Amino acid sequence: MKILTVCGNGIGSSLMLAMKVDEICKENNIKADVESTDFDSAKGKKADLLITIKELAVQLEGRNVAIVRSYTNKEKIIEDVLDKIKETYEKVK
Amino acid sequence: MIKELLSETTIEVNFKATSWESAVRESGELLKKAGKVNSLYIDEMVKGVKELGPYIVISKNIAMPHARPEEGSNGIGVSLITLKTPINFGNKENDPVKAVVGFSAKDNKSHIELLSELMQLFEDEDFHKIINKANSKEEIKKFILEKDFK
Repeated sequence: MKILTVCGNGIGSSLMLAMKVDEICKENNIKADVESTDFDSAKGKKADLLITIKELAVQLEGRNVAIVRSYTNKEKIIEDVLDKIKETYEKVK
Repeated sequence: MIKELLSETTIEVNFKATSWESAVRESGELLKKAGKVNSLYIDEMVKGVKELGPYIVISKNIAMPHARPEEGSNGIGVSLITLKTPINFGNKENDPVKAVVGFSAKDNKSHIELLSELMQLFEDEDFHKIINKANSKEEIKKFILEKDFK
């Protein structure tokens, strides 16, 4: 499964989020290739799931997006997106 | 990484910011003094917040402004300023900002260790305490040097 974490620049918040999402996937036995990217590039990249904050998610119409409240707080990230990660994984594996 | 990168030049305490923009510019100026970025990068740090919103307030009371490597960065760098008076950046969850941690990278990945260390700091209650009360660069530098990063 391909997951893209998205922020404005692709090298700060989204990279931190990618590290957390990667840990969470491993802890839940989910095989995922997690990559961070900037918002503009995200529009042109293929992925099974995009994870980002609300302000950017609303601009990614037609994509499978999960919304996080925090790029770094692992508990909040799990609460916000683990279900959607599992759901997407079931569909694509 | 962060233990080597944060120094006299790249730490400042109790900066009197008149706006979020002046706080971001100051963090950029420290990176510039350390030879890590040029003036264009500082402009891009500010532009990023204006165009994409205050998502850079990434943790409670902490903002992490930055721009893309090709926008004027010479390498991996980090700066830390604490603000004398906390300022709102417009991020409802994490405002007001008390510390601004600016950084620069040279590509998409090689600064990953620095980011991991920053994440550990942002999750450390003691770090939050020290940025609220430190009155000298030395206190902050000491905290960072003594922290056991994984």
